Amino acid sequence: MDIILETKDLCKYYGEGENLVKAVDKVNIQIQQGEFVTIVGKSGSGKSTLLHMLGALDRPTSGQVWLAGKNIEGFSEDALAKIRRRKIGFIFQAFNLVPSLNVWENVVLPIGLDGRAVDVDFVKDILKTLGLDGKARNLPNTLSGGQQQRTAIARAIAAKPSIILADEPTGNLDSKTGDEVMALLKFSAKKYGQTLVVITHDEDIAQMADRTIIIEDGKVVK
Amino acid sequence: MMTSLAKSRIRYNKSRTVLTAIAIILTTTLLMALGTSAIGLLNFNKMQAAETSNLHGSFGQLTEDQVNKLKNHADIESLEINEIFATVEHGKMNGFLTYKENVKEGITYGVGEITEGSYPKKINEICGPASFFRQLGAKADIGSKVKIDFRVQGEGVIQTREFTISGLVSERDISKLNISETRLSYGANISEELVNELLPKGDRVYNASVRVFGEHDLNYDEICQKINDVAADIGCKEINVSLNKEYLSTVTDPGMETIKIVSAIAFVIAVFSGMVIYSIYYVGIITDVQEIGKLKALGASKKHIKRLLFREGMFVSVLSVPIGLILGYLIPYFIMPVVLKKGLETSLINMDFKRPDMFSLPVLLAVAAVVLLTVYISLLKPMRMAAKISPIEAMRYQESSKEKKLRTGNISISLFRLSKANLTRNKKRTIVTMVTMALSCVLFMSVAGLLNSMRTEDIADRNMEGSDFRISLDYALDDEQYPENNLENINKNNPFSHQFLEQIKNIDGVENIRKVHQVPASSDYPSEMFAEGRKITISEFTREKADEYRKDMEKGEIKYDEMVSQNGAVFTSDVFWDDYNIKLNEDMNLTVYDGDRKIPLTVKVQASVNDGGASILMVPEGVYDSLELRNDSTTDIFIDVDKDKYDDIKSQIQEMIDSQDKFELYSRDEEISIGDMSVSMIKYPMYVILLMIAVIGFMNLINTMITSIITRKQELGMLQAIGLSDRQLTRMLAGEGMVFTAGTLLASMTLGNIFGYLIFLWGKNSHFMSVTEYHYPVWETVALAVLLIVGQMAITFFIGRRMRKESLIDRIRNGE
Repeated sequence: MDIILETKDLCKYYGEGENLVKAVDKVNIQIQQGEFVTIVGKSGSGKSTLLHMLGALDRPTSGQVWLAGKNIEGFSEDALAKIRRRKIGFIFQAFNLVPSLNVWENVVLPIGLDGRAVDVDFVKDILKTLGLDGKARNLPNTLSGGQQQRTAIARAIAAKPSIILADEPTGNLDSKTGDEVMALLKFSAKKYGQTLVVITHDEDIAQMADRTIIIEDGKVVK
Repeated sequence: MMTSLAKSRIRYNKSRTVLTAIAIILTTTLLMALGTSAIGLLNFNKMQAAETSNLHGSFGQLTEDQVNKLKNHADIESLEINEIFATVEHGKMNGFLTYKENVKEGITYGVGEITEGSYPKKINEICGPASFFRQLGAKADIGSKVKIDFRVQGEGVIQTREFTISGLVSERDISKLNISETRLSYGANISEELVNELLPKGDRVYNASVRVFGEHDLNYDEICQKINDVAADIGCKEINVSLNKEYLSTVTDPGMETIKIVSAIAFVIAVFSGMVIYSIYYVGIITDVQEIGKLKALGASKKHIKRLLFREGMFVSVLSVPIGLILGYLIPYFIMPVVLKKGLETSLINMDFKRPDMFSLPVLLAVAAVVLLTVYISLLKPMRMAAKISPIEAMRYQESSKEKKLRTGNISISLFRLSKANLTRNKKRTIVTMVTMALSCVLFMSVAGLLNSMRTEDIADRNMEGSDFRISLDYALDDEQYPENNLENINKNNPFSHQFLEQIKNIDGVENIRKVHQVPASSDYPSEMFAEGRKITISEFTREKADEYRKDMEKGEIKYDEMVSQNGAVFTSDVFWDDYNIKLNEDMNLTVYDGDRKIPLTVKVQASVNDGGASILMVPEGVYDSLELRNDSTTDIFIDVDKDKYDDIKSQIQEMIDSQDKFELYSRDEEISIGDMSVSMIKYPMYVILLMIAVIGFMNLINTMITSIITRKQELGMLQAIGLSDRQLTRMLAGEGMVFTAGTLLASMTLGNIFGYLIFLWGKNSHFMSVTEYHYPVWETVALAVLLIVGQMAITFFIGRRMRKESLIDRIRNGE
């Protein structure tokens, strides 16, 4: 299998001298195409920082991130934005929907930003898979938390990215809804052939993954 | 508790505080500067009026008997008798000799006070301004001799006499003025002995300058009445009384007119800035709903919330108002003297500049009170709104339409649609901002329409009837001693000869020459106009001119064809309608003088206008032609020239004119420079006020943009995370801003221009600064559009940059 995401001696330091915080310290990981990986660690262990660098949201202090065989070091902000909307789908803990757009519009937003045509059947299929087929015209504030997060998942999938990065996707949901959402996320990633990287501190979710990376004080321990 | 919370909120909402503060400072500055300038101008006018002369009024055409009555009149505080004894005959010089007697001291003049030597006592002594003597080709030194040709009372034979200069008096410095000699007049004083020798006592005609008692106790109307009463007591006709209105109005009245205008402008400014401050707080409340909800959940009452917002506003005001007061005082304190000095240099007033008193405590207190009141009023609605917020609703509150659940939306979404969705989400905010922005720009455009129409070119155009030069014949109507100067005799051998006209036509660049004809006429019609056999002139008008008359008609009606068939005439000095006893459609039997021929002509005055022609009576061309004059009756020619060759042509015409002493030259550039200063003294300060209003309006746009971006920080961060590039973000924000700009511009172009035209019409009707023609404010429009677009883009750029300084991660996390 191809390696879709790889880090080489990835470091992210904050502050200096005595206040130096090594949020991510010499991390070397490889993630295969189509794999479902969870990154587990305590609060403040550096797992979110790692995810942000994997998703080209943040720049490392040193080291490299290779995305689909390309080193993204030295890319301009605009080039990184382009990578984010083509290769990566993000799901955040807060649902982060645009309140003035309806469900459908939120989902097709990254496609629109890229200037691509919307594959209507594909998006319809995603909404159906995620149980949102009747909600396409709803505004976000009329949806429940689970529905909002499912919309966020649909948005992450719709642009057909290679990788979906999720930061505590079930953190704001009750456990039953959280499980449902997680199952749907896993199912649809498989269905559309996408690599899935999920940050969590939930043992149950970690159990669902193909592989779990444990991170402590910025270092990969397992 | 609420006080410290208010203080910390002021610090926390830094950008809102700064914007509110700027708006309040600007408002205070504007109002204070307005008040200070008005006080300064009032005091300056008082100083100036007193410098010209402190006389209250003057009576003309008095007999010796009347003068004696005046000398003994109980109401007279000061009295000076003078008489124009003779006119000086020296080329084109407008000179006259006067005799002056100071009966009761107290009247002062800005010019004409003795600076060297003394007033004439002996029969051959003379005193006057240096320029008078220089005009006559003599040395302006005490003891120098000067030979003067003069005609006693402007009539009779020319006499020549040699005078010795006994004194010199102060005069206006006219060297800086670019005005022809023929537009100025010079006077000098001679002794009573000379008057007694040359003028029989019974023929003497006196003028009296007076001051009456009670300058400080009476108001304007009362003092005018008092002067008129004195005139009536001595039997002086009202038409011969002239009041020194400028001086009287400035000393008696605290400037009611100025106070009215200033209060009106101040009111507009206060209302406008009130709206801006209101809008800033209103937008602030929308963003603060959640915080206010939390405070209420913690037990804050309605009163608490109101007090919180009120204190916030007052803290900002207390800090801003003093700054505004100081700025508002200092700006005019330094700028106004410069403007006034400049004004003095170009006006005909000779006085040493003294800084007028500009400070006024009542004005300062009034401004502070008005600003605080404005802030309070603009806070009322936001306070009530905030107090109404229920804690539950507030904490759940999202800035979206509450009732709407569904949105039809689009299949695909673009940057443009995204911006649009955001603007419609905040419809209220968008509208409030747009209305205030539009208001300031509409105000700007409205006034710009008037200011731009305030042109000396137009005044010159009117005087010059659209041409570049005018050559006028210098003629008399009733000169008995030298009848050759009378128009009918000049016409026998009119100097506007074919040869002369050809010569002008042949000057390189002369494009067109237009002639005006006038012919003298007398009548037995019972009117002051024809009293004692006096003559007037009549002139002709075209069908096109008739259309112009119709627009400014005061009385009667103009039907050109009917006028031609009925010998209709237009009376062009409507203000004298009653004095001259003119009646509509009454036969007026005229005798027209064509050289030695006398032609009878009966006309009917069918209409009356103000300011509309060469003569006091105008008849249609057909009627004029029917006189079949044998002599050329040209009295004026108007010359249009190629603008590039103007200066050259002027000097050539000037040269031709110099050899002919019956001609006077009027030129467009001189007419323009006469009016220029007075116009710019109004125009530019008004533009400064408008500019500041526009700046206050802009504060509002900045606030809306900042609020709209800050409150969406997380949302925008998330958009960037899912692939919105920096460039796209800037474009999106700029697009949102553009909507405000476009809306504002649209309002300015439509409403602004409509109001602008209406204000112009008002200005035209009330003769404000001689506006006559509407000039569309093209440059002002372009400047406004550029300023708005560039300004709005700059705001977007700076806010965008400030936001990007914060890392993307922090922004996304902001809400978590």
